Amino acid sequence: MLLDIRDLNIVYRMRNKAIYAVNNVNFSLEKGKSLGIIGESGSGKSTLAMAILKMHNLKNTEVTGQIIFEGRDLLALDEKQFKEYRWTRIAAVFQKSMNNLSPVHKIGTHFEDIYRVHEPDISSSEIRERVYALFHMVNLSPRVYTCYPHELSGGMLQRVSIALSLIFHPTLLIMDESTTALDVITQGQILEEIKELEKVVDVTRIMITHDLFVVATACQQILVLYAGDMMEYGDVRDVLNHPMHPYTKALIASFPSLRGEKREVHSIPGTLPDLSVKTRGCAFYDRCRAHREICRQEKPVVCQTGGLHTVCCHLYGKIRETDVKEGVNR
Amino acid sequence: MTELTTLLEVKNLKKWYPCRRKNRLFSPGKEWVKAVDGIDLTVNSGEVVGIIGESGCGKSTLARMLIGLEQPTTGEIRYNGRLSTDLIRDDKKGFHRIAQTVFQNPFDTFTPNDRIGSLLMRPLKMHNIGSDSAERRELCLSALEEGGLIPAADFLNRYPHELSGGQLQRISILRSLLLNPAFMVVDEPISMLDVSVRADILAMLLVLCRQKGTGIMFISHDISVIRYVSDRVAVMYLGRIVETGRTDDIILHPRHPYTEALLSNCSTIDPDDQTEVIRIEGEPPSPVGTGPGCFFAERCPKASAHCWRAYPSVTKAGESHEVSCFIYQREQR
Repeated sequence: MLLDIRDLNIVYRMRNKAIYAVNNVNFSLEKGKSLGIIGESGSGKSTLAMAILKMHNLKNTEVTGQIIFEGRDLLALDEKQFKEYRWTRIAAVFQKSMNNLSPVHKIGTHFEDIYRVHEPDISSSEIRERVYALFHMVNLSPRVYTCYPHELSGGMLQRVSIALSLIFHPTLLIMDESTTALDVITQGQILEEIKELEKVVDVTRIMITHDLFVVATACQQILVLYAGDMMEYGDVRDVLNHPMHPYTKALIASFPSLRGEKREVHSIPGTLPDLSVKTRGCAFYDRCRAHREICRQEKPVVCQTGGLHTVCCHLYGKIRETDVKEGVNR
Repeated sequence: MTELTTLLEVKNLKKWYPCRRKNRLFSPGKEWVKAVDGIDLTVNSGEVVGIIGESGCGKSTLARMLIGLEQPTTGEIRYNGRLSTDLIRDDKKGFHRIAQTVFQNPFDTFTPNDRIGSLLMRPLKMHNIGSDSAERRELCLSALEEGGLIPAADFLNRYPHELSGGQLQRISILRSLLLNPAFMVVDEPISMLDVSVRADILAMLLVLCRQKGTGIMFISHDISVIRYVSDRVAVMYLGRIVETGRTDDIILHPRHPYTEALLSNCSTIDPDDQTEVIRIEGEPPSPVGTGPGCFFAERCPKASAHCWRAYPSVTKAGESHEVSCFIYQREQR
């Protein structure tokens, strides 16, 4: 097991209130099985990713639970011990690569800086050689090494970001909305390249996105988050073809189809609940079409429905009523 | 639905921006960025025309010209048969009652320190719609109710930051519709919004525009959304339209190699979808100094020597399906 997250809770403390951003999230990630985390804004997906990289400011953020990476609990490590992990074994690519690169430095300088920190004795020609190899992996020409960020297009900058994250051949790569800002063709190209990349380097991805398309094309497993709660988890094929949670069903129904039968799309009425109030029942309660009284009273328990597929919903929990009218169908 | 009448007619529309030559000594004269380079297009009233293309293909420049934010270099834009330049010259305010727009980012659309009420009433006041502020208020209230923002009176007193992106985008659309425009350009209206609210915004836009017979030009990256909303689709590449036709003709049976590639790169949410991705290499070439041949030739997997020599003319590929590609010209001969 590469990554095992157990009972993860993340709370942002503010002066007079608290935001419960991630509540009781459990999942595990096997080597080579890339995971897509999907959710709307405010669902806690980026908070979760930041916790894996230990990027939270612990002065005002409470992170409890366990994040077990390659057998060690990352949350128990102090900053000095974690340095061995950050970027060398766990790396990340973020959404706006143009904002992550310094506009006054050449692309090559960014790579040199990172190498110099981690391997102080490395020579410039050695760096150059290794960077060219990385560029080759992400389909960039060596010319880019001496370019400034403004000379490159969005897709190329995103490739630079991916190359930067691969410097030390990490085993876990977190991609936070990393293809969202690109247009269709570039996004398609980069997703294909990432999949190809996996054959060359041994890296497992966690892709955070609000776009089901990305998960469907580039991931093997999917985790659906809503308001910081886990809704459904499982194999991409299982979950997208046979969604069980009303939220997942509704989410799929809100995507128009590209090929095949043209179908009606439906949105989910209502808005995200207030995250500063800890709900007693299901977080999706007031937007759910299949809700019942128990959903307001009790948190649904995680329920395994065969294989990896788990769903967190009272419809499948303790009380399983066959006559429950499922409000939302695909 | 009412009889289809041609609302907007665009003929050979061009927008070239001058740019500085790199080597002015040896090649004097101006060089141009051809953002929009000869577009012919019609939009009927009550019809939704979708525009798709990569970033930088001139979609937004086209939109800006249609609503009078940008002066075309050459070419004509006619609304109901009248030239837009004449319309603007005679009555600039009146022109804005014909063509309106909705922008991408609802969070930037509104002045942050005005209340929704005054933001909605301002266009009514400027265009002398309604005799006094009480009547305008009523108009705004009924518009908000039509848009599903209930209770409407509550919204009038709120500030933009108090509302969610979906609500703001609704208000943005409703504000544009308050003037009863005959034509609306909608530029990526839902790309900033959460997936779960997108469908409602689209439904609201479509219902209101059908009722009022407004013609819409819908610009989006997301081809599945375009498929959902539009009656006809135009595919743009480097400032030119390469293919137009009815939505399903284009999406299910694309003819132009560029459209084929574009569509094959769009993934579906079906993990078993086996559509093979057609890889097109590189980025779109620069719109500066485009050659004599087809602009897509250097990335086209089906290009032949012929394609570098001349730009293909428009060929009919079916009823109301037009494509600019040599492959189909040869077939016809």
